[in-house]
Amino acid sequence: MPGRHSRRSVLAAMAALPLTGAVSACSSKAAGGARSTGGTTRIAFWSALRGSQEVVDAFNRTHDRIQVDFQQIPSGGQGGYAKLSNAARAGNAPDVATIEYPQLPGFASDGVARDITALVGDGLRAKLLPQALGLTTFQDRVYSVPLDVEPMVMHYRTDLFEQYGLQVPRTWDEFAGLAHTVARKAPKRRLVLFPTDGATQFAAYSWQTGAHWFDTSHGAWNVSLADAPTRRVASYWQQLIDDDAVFMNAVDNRQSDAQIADGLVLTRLSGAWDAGAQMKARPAQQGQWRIAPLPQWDPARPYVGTHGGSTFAVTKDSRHPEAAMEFIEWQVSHPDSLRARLSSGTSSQYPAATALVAVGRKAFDRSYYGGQDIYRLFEQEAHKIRDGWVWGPG
Amino acid sequence: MTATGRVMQDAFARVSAGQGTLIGAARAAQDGTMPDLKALGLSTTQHST
Amino acid sequence: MTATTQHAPAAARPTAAPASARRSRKAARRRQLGACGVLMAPFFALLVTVFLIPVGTAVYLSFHSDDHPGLGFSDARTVFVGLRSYAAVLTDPTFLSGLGTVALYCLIYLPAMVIGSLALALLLDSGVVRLRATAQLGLFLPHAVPGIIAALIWLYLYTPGISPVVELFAKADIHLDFLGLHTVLPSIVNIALWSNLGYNMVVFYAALQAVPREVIEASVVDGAGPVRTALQVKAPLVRASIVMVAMFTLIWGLQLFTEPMLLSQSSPMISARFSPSMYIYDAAFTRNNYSLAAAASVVLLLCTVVLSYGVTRWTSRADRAEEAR
Repeated sequence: MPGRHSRRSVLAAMAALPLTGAVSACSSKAAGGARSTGGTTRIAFWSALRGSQEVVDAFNRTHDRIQVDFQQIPSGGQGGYAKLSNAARAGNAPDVATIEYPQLPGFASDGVARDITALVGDGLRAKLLPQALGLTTFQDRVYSVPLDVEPMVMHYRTDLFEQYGLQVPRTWDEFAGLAHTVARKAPKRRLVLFPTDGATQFAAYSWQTGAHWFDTSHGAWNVSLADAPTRRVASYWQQLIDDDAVFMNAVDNRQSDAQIADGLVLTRLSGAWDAGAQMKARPAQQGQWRIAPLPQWDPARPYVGTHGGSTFAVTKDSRHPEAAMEFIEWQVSHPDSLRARLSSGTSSQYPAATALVAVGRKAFDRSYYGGQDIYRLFEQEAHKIRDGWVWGPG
Repeated sequence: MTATGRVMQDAFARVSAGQGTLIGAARAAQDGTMPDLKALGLSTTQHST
Repeated sequence: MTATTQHAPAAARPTAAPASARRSRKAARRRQLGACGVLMAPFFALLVTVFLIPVGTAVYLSFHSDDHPGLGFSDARTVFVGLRSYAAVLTDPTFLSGLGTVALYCLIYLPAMVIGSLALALLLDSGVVRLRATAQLGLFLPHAVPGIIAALIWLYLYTPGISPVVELFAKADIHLDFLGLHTVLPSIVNIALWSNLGYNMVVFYAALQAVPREVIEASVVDGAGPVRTALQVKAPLVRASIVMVAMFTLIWGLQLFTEPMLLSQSSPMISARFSPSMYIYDAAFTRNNYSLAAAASVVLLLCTVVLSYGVTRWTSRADRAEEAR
């Protein structure tokens, strides 16, 4: 009878489906995880950072017990973090993942980033800037290793400052006055942009002022996004916005690119890394930009927050955490790693490993910034990074 | 932090269109984050002003 | 038939015949039920796999969540959490504002759609329009465009800098901002209307064909003009279709997702949680909290069910009131 025959074949087909699913899961697990073939440990590494391929090549050339399989992924906001979360959920996350500071608490509590306190030796600890390591440590447990730490600085158009006879502001009061002056003298230009897609910039301003948006010191997450320092920052910028003394639009879009390219905006408040990004994006503006410290509320007690910066975590799925840690330590603290990364093009990454600052300074091409030694500036600013800031787990 | 930042940025966009203030955006971000944290079972306290 | 033919032998053999008649009737009934079962099996199979199982899974997920006790840095377990996810959803101002947005959207969209498509159908039916078939095709064509493509086309037309429409008006010194804070919702309504007006018009047109011609002729004889005929004779006779269109439009409207999702790339006024569906998407794929997404889905489902039921009750009560009159 036709019914009986088709039922048997249907049952056979249904039984085959979970098996094919299991087989594909097994093979993808092998591809994503680590394989140990006769002494050489292979570990998987995902990153969106520029220059990572060069770094991995340099590592693979000089190490034979460990070989790294690198995969370039989109940057976090463009789907990189979703990719990492999904891979972790499926159980085949890479051994080493790149996670920026604001996203680390979330990945740590999700269990994607494993607790590597035991793997981070005292030697490595000593090499890293304490403020940077503090941002990757929760409840005295370390969840990732900082690669770079990016204090927020003020990039400014020195040629336009000269043209309009402006002084580089050292305090926020001076900055506000300057904003009004610019709006008056050059009606189409503004001193700065307040980015509507810039929660991290706003966080950095609040951090500098002493805010503690998230606090874990009492055994629970204390959430306080509207505390007194934040209110101070908010009313400061609100005043500038209400007076139409600053631009207010998204920074990650064409409008902002046009504002910078056409010289409509005179300063950019962003992390140290933006010096290199600017060089790459607008080579024609060579010589027109300089970098100054971020304005302070009180010059006698200077602080800054960070904007940007990445860390490396060993994932829970990793089957070779020691090998992964060895790769991370090399990438974070070895001069060859930084040289390889900088060789790929324009980067002004400020390393969290203090010994590498000299390497970065030497490798960086200063002609764009008129010969200014921006790494020395970054070093000064990095020591002003305020303690006690915690990013949220959301 | 991603979700908190997103709620804050949505509120900033509204400020740029004339609706609300920056500190209102910070408060909105807090009000939008607390349910997420509670949904995850985290112990939370908050300080609202 | 079988009963009557079996009646004669039943009289002749009173003991054996009724039992066999009952057995053959039972067999016939079983065959009938079997045939029904086989023909309806595909529907029930689909109902179970595409509706009941996912809804059941969603309800299950909404009651179980990853639990990160304390500060969350210890191992997470998936546990039964009771109504925790529901509490989180219902106290979340971003979800509640999404519900408000979609309620406002339906408030604008529903009347515009029903009245607009009914008016178009009545116009076509009254014979005022020449080339009726061409007009019908032209009005229906936008519906053939997939929702995402339609949203992209309109996104192109809305975005200043690349839209020819905005440019044209800018030359006349009129600055249109289709994606501003207060104009973005009407802009979305516009896209939905453009896509679906033709479809609902066809539904109403078909219903109008079922109106008996004698009624129309009688009203014409009574001296009713074309407008009167349309509004007071034809429209009430297609009330069932109006209710159906209203309900489907309401259910579809509550699930608003495609248009704001695509427009959000160009308009910062559309947040990531603009509508409840977008909140669910964000909870599942950005915040990776499936329990929260499931709870929000169940809440949305309940709202849809309650509103649909309300619409049905209201129209049946109106019907009964009419009949009583």
